[in-house]
Amino acid sequence: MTNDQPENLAFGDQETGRVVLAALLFEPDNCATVAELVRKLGIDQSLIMAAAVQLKAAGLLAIEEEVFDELTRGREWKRRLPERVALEKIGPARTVEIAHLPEILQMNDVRSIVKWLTKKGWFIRERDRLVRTEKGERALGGEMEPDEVIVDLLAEQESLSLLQLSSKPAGVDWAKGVALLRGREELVRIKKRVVRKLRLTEKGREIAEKAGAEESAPEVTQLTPEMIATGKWREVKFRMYDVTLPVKPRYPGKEHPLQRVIAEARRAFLEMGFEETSSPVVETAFWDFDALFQPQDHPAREMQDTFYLSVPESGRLPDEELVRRVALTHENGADTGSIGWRYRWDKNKAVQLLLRTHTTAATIRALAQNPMPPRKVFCIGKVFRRESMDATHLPEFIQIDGIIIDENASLATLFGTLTEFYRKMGAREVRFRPSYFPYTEPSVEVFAHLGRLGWVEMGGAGVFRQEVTKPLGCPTRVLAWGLGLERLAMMRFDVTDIRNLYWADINWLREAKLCR
Amino acid sequence: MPVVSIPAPLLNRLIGSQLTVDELNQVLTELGCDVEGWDAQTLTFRINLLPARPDMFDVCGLARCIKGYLGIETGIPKFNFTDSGVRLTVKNGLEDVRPYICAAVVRNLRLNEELLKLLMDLQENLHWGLGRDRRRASIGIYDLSKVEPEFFYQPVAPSDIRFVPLGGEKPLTPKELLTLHPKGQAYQHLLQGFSVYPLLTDRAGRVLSLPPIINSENTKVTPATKELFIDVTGPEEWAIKKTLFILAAAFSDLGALVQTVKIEFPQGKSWITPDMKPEDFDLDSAEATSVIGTPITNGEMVRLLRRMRYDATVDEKHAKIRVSVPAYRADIMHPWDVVEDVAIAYGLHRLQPRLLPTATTSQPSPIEELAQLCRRTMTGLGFIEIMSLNLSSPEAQFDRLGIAEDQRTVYLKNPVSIEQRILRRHLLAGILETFSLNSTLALPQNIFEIGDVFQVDPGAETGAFQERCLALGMADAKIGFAEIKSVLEALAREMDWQFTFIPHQQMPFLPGRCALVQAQNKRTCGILGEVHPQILERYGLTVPVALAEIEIETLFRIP
Repeated sequence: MTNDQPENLAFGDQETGRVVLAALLFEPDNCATVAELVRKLGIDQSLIMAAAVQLKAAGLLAIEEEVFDELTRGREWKRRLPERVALEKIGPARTVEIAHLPEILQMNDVRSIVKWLTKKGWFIRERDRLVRTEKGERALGGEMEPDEVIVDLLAEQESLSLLQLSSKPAGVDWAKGVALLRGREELVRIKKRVVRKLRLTEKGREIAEKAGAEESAPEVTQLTPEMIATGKWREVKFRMYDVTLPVKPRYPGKEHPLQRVIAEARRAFLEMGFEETSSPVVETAFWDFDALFQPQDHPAREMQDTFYLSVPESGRLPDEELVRRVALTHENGADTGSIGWRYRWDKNKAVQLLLRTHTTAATIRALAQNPMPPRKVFCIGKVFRRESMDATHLPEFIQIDGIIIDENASLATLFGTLTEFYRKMGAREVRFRPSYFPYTEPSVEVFAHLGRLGWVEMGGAGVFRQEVTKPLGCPTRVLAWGLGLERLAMMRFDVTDIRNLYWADINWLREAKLCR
Repeated sequence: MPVVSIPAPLLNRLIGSQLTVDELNQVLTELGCDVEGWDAQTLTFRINLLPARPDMFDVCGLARCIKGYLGIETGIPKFNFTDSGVRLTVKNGLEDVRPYICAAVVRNLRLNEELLKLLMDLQENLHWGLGRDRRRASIGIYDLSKVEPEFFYQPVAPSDIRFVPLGGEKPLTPKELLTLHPKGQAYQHLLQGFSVYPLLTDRAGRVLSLPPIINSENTKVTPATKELFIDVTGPEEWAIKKTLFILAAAFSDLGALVQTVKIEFPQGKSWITPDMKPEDFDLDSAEATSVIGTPITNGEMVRLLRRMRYDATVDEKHAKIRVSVPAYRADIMHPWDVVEDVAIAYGLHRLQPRLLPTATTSQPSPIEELAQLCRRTMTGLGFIEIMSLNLSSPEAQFDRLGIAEDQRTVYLKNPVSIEQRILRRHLLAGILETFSLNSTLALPQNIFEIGDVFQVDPGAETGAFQERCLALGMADAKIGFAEIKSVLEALAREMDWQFTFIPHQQMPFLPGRCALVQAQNKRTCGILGEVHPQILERYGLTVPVALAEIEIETLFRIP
């Protein structure tokens, strides 16, 4: 139900009744068809009829029904009747053998055509021949029978009625035309139609005039451009709406909820003076693990945790000097002050291709590209872990990684930066717990207090080990973190199953709230 | 990560305290343990192992840390290991196979089922954490009373000897073991390609074990065992020694007497293990405080270090702290590893978070900014954004859409499911799947996605080409080519792209109602069309759908 058609009007309310009475008062003969009233008043036909029935019962108006023929195109309708086509094909010859007709007309059964050619009076049948009459001569010259005129008119209009035909070219016997077409269903369909007219009774007229005197203007529902252009709106009264009724819902186009959280996180880091970086999803083990001092036999690198690729299988390493320094640091710590992992580093493991397991692959590439302080870099992107799907796990998810290359970088400033970030994202408080990651030392786990969810683990952070930074030529300390994003979104949008973020229910997307 | 069960009563007994479950949980967490749960039935904590801290894999190691952290007993724990008099001789021929071995003897052992289980768990977890699944270190534990010292670590030909493996009944040769026994099958790769295998025997020629595969049945440890012989083998000495130290420290903490074994190598080299001598190094205390970001005096730092079970003295002259690291710590590779312990002892919650004073300017990624502009335009046109997964399958990406697969798809080597074994090539499948999932909901449905698609690129550093794309879909009773084209043109107008539409014929589109999108430099950068009803049927869709996809990154890079 929309506001234009309030439910309580469906049975013909007094309001519509009054409008109909007032409208009829201004019509010639106080009479109008229902269709005209629908058009003029902008009120639904069912409502007008409902009101009319009530008004009739009260003796205020009469409902008159007029039956007429409505003509529409039949299945095989063509602009020219088949006998006209035949007439023209036979051409100027006065006589024609009926036996020759199938060939001339390109049809097997010519009985019907012969019938119509004679019925129209264009030919007379003499034994096995047709002989053209004078009328036939005129027809060939262009004279049209009334049924032909009607068929021709149907090319312009989808339907015709005798009522309409009376306004067409004079001198045509329309009734004869209709009579000729009756029975030729396949060419022109003729249907009985009823038109309803409403006419005020004497009593109705009196009441309408009285009401008009009290309330001179008729009431309308829809303000039309015509009313405004003609100034007619001054003469009408606008119907009062029930403004409490429900209306049809509308939904704006909008961003995905997860995307909105991504946009907020981006804004938060951009506000804090970070530059944004990116890196390929298909990554070499070198940038995903080796450059981060993850030993080549580290459990995280194993097949059960990381997606490796079969096509393509291996990539290229960066410049040799960098690779050599990284390799040496793994093997014995090189000049980093570390004893290293004490094993033989294998180039073949470093060229293996995989789906990046963290966006730290992006920040470490950024660090390698320009390791000079001061720099703040972040990356938000898809990462992949070899996990089966359930309510809290997906094989791919979004991570927010960041690094700060700064002489004054410390655990305390790491905590400060991340606390500021989560405050911007709506967390009340942030806490840190000791943890262990292969590429940071010290390492912490980050927890944020997210409203009714309480304390939620958001990810890991720490100070990059010198085994990570020194081979890349970085002279200062580097802070680093890798944080989850889905959890923030799940909290914000009340999602309990992470899968619902990616297998979207459009209704949920439509309803998801913009504000927290 | 493996999970270990830690019995709280035993933990309290080893600490010498009566901490409540909450107090224990709190202190474990403050030490960086990842406590996963508490089982009130068995009174055990379930703790996720920290790969970096094998010395915290067992209840003894945890108790050692907690005692220090709480100040009950600080500094390096004292271990008094005596000489067992047992010798182990390493014979020629294992240099390339598995050259290193260390060993210890344990006496005065009072085992029970619980302790035996804890020891077995520790052994398994050390195999995982330090041993890297037995590659770097493999442990053998034997009932000493069932063998006769001295011991020999020697090469053996694959079929030269037979012994009954642990838990087995029939004697097998090493070769048979590797192919027939489950443990042999699991670890045979560690001996693959060698003509001889390592074998540990006693004076009488009894087999103790075939490292790193399996022990013999007749040296099996039971709850009645009072004396143990332990060996650790591996390709280098660091990991095997650390493994042995952690085991020795655990037995010592349990009140057993640990004794050393002398190992003699072929070229006259020998060592006595376990040698719990700490490693010393200098800690730059100024650097340590600046990493942490709060001033800590040298005296305070020494106290903090001792609480983390280091010994430490201040070297005033050089403004350094002399730190001794207990032998069982396997994670101290760099001075900052010690700095982390200082921070933990100091208390992370006591650190005052603050922002860096350095000013830097922000710099958004151009591609992300472009994506945001496209997103704004699409939402302005009334479209709802969806996000689908990057992982997909050839069935979803090609077969269902009637597209022929070429050779340029990125395939995973080890997928978890067949639905997710390639990286997607286009975004259209995600749009159609979303319509399919939502086929009963109100129309019109106008959706879009901005995401990456992938293909093999042999010239690229990472072997693959990644491209940011935009796909859009419209579903309604009266949707067709004209509608989607008009949306695409609206987007192009906003973004100042000049599109030419080239008639094209390709599934999943209806012939004559599909076009390629050409950019101003004549490069093809997209496709659009009305979806073939044959495809709609496959997705269970009963309304017309029109789709388009364009490569926005390519368009962005046109000069």
